[in-house]
Amino acid sequence: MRGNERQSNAVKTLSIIAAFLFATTAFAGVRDNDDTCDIKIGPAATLLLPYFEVDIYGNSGQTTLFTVTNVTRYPQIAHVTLWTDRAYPVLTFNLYLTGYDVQTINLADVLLRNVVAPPAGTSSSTKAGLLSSAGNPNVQSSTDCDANPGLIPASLMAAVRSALTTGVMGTCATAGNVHLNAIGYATIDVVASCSSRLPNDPLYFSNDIVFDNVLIGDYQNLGPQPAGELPSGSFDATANPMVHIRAVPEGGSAGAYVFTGLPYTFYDRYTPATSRTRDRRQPLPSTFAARFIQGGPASFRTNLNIWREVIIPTNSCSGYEANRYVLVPEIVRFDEHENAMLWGVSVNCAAGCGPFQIQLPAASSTSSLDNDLYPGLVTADIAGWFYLNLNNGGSTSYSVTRDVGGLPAPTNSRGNLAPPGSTTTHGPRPSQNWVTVTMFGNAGSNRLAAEFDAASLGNGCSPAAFLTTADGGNLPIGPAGGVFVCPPGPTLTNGTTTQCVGTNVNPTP
Amino acid sequence: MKWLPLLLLLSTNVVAASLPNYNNDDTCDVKVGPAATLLLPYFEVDVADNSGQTTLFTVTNVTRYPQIAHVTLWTDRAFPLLTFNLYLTGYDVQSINLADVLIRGVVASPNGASSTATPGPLSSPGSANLVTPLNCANNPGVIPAALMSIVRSALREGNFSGLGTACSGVGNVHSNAIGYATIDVAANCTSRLPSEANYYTNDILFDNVLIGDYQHLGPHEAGQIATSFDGAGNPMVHIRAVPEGGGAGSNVATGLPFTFYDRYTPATARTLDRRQPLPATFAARFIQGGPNAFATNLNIWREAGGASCADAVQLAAMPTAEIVRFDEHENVFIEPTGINCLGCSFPQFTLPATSSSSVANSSIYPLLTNGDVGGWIYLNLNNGGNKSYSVTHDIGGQPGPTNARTSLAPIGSTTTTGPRPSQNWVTVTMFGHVGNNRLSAEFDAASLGNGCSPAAFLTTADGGGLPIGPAGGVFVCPPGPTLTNGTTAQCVGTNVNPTP
Repeated sequence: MRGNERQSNAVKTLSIIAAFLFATTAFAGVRDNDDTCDIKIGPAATLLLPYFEVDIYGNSGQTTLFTVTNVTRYPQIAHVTLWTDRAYPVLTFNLYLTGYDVQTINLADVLLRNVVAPPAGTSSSTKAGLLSSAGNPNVQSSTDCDANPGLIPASLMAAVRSALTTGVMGTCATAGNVHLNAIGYATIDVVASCSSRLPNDPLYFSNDIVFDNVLIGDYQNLGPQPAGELPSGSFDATANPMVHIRAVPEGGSAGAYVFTGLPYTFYDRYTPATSRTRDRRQPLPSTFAARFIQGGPASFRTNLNIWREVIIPTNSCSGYEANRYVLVPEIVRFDEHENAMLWGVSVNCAAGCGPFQIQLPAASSTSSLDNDLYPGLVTADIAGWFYLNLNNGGSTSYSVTRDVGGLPAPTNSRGNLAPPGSTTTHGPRPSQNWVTVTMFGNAGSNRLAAEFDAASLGNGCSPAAFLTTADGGNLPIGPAGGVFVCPPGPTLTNGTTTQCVGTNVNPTP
Repeated sequence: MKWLPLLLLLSTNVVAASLPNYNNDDTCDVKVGPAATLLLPYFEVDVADNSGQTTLFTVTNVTRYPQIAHVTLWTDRAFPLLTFNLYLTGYDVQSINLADVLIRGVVASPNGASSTATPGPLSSPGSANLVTPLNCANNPGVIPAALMSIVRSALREGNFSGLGTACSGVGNVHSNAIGYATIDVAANCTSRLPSEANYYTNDILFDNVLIGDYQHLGPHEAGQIATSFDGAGNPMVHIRAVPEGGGAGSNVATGLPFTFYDRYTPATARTLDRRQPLPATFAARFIQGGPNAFATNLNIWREAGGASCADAVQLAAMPTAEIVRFDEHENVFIEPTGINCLGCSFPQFTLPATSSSSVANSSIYPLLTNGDVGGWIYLNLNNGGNKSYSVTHDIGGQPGPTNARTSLAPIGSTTTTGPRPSQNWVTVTMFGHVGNNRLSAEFDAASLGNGCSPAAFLTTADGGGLPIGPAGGVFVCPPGPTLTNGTTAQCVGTNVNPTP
C-alpha cells in the first residue's frame, strides 16, 4: 500500500513536472521582442535598402533617398555600404547619429555631387540634443568619427559611378551589370567604430559590428518608372520601410560571439569560417507572393524589385560574373480568375532550356510585362499575383550552424533546410531574398505610383521549397509548411484531421 | 536516486526546449505574410464623388483551398456598420474599390464574389474548414440602397438608424466617409459582426492564408483640399492566428496574453480568436514645410472599448499617453506640460479609433518651432486602458482571463485602468511637390515593441523616469559578453515580455 502510494505520488510529481515543461516550452519566446525569424518593421541592427537607382547625369531627377533614425538616447554609428547589382561592395561610409538623430541621405548627393550628408558629413562633433546621452558604452571611440567625410574624393566617386553603371571597378570589369542609371543596393549596420572595412571582410564581424536593435529606416524613390520604359512626362514618388533585420539575441560588445538559435544569418557568406552566425542577423526568406496590375485603360504597370543573396562570397573579380546569372527556380502567375501561367517548360532545367531559363542579379527592378522573366499574361485580366520561389539553388559557400552538444557547429553540407528534391541543389539551405512591388497607373495626366513589400510565404528559417504542382512537382503553392496546420486537439470544421498535413515548425538545421 | 537522473534529464530538456525556436507564425511580432485577419487601418472615400478620392483594398488567397474573407466596415468610433463576404477560390485575388461599395452600393461588381465562381486549374473545389452546406452562392453584388444610405450617413455624419437602433454619434462628422475595415478568414458567409460573441464560437477560422494591400487614390494633407491627384499604397496589417488552425470556433490555448479581438470575444474565452495583438508605441517619420511644401499625415488606428452606441459616443476622442517630436537636430518638442493629466489647461491630445491627421496640426502634435523640415515622432498611443480589456493568465494549466491590473500594466505605467495597454497601428503618408507634380507615399511606422509588451511609462521627455527607446530599454545584453567598454553596468534592457 505504501509502495503504491509512493508510486502514485511519483507519478503525480512526474505529471506536474511534465505539465510544467509543456507550459514553459509550448509558448517559449512567442511573446518576446526580437526573438523570431520573422521580419517586422521595428528597431533593428541592420537595414537593407534592397534596390536603389540614381540618374547620375541629373537629367530626369530620378534618385533614391534613404533615412536612418536612431531611436535611442545613445549615439550610434550606422555603417553604410553600397553594393553593385552583382553584390560587389563599392563604397562604405559612416553616419554618426547622436541620440534620437535622424539622417537622410540622397544618393544623388553621394553619386552625383560626391557628398555624404551635405554640407559637412555626420561627424561625432555634432551637438547632441537635449535628451541625448553624450556617449555609448558600445562605441569604441567617437574620435575616429570626427572626420566623417562630407566630401568624397572625386576620383573615388568616378570609380564608384563606373562600377554602378558599367560594372567596371578599377581593374575588374565584371563588378556589375551595364545600365544607364546607377543601380545597386545598400546595407546599413550598427557598428562600434567609424570603420572603413567592408562587410565582405571577416574582420568586420569580429571587430566592428555590434548587435543593438536600435535603428529604423525608410526610403523614397523619386521619379520611379516602369522598368524598360523611358521616363514619362510627369514625376512621382514611392516610399517604403527598409528591411529591418534584427540581431537575435540582441546585444553585447563589438564582435561578441554569442550563440544564436538562428540556423544561419543574413551575412552568412561573409562571416568568419569558424563562427558563421557571428553577425546574429535574421536571415531572409526565399518564397513570396507579389501582386501585380498590368494594362487596362489606366495603363497599369508593375515593377518587382528583387534583392537576392549571391553565390560567390570572395573578392575575386571573376566570381562576380556569375552573379549576373543567378537562377530562379519557379515563378507562377495567377490572374484574377486563378488561371495559372507558367514558363514554357518546367524549370530547374540545366543550361539549354532556351528562352525560359531566367536569371536575376543581386538587385533588380523588372517589369511584370517582361516575358523573358515572368510568365506572360495571356488573358484579358489586368491584375493578379505571382508566386516567387527565388531560391538560387544554394551554394556550398553557404552554411548552417547546428547545436552540437551545446556548441555551434557550422557546416556546408546538406541538412534539414535543404531536403532532397527541394529547390536547393547545393549546400545546406535556400538562398535569401526580398521583394517589393511598385505599381504604376495613370489618372488623366497624373501618374500614380505606390511601393510596398511583397508578402513572404515563410521566414528565413524555413526549409527550401519544393517545385510545386504548377511546374510538375508534388506540393501545392502555399504558405511554407503547407496547409492545413492543426493544433493538438480540435478537428477541422468537417470533423476530420486527415488534411492536417501542414506545419509551422521549422526543422533544426 | 532513480529520480535524480530523470529530473536532470528533464532539466536538460528544459534548457534545450527553452532555446529559441524560429518557427513560422509563432511570435507576437506582426510581419507581412499570410494571416488570418487583415486590418485596413484607415479608409476615406469621397461619397459625393467630386474628387475621385477613394480607398481600394485587395485580398489574395495564397492557398489552393477556397476561403471566405469576412469584411467588416467600422466607423471612426469603432462602430461596426456593414459586413459582407468574399468567397475566394483557391489562389483567388479580389479587389474592392470602396467607392463601388459606398457610392454605387456594389460589392465586387457586378455579381459579388460568390461560391458559384469557377475555380482555377490549380484550385481545390472545396475546403475541409468550410461549413456544409455552404451559404455563399448568393453573396451580394448589389447592396440595397436603403442600407447603403444608412452606412454613408454613419460614416460621414455619425448618425446610425437601422435594425431597430437609432444612435447619434457612432462616428465623427466629416465630408468624406471615413473608417476602417477588418477582414477575417471565416468558415461560412455569415452576416454576424465581429462585435458579436457568437462570431468567435461559430464563424471565425484560424488559418493564416490571406494577404492584402490597399491603395489610397487622391490622398491629401489632412485639413487641406486636394489640388491634384496622386496615389499611395501599403500592405494591410497582417494579423496571424497563433497557433494556427483548427475548425470554426475551436478553442485552443495560445501563448498570446491577449488578442486583437479581445474586447469582443466571449467572456470565458477571451483569447478565442488567437489573433496577434498590436503594439502601443511607435516611431513615425515626418517631413514638413520647406520649398517642396512637405507635409505628413499620420494615419492612426486605435483600439476602442465596446461596440455599442454608448461606447461609440464615448469614443469621440480617446486620450493618447505621450507624443514627442524630434527634429533633424534632435531638438525635442513636447506638450506644454506633462500628459495624462486630467484637467490640463491645454488641449488634451486625443484621437478617435481611426484618423488621418497632419503633423502640422498643433491640436494633436507638438509644434515644430524651428526651421527643420524633417524628423520623427515618438508615439505612445496607449489610451490608458479599459476594464473591458482582458489578459489571460495560465492558472494551473487552464487559461484564466482577468480584467484586473497585470504585469502588462505595471503600476505607474501609462495604463491606468485595466490589465494592459491598448492596441494601435500607425502608417505615414508623406507629401511633397516637384514643380507642378505632387508626390505622395505611404508606409508603416516602426513599432517600438510588440503587442505582448507591457504598457510603456511616461518618458523623461515628459517628466517620467525612462528614456524614449525600444520596448524593454537598452542595453540588452546576452549572457556572457560585456559591452564594448568592458562593463555590464548599463545592461538594463530586456526583450523578455513578462507573463501577464
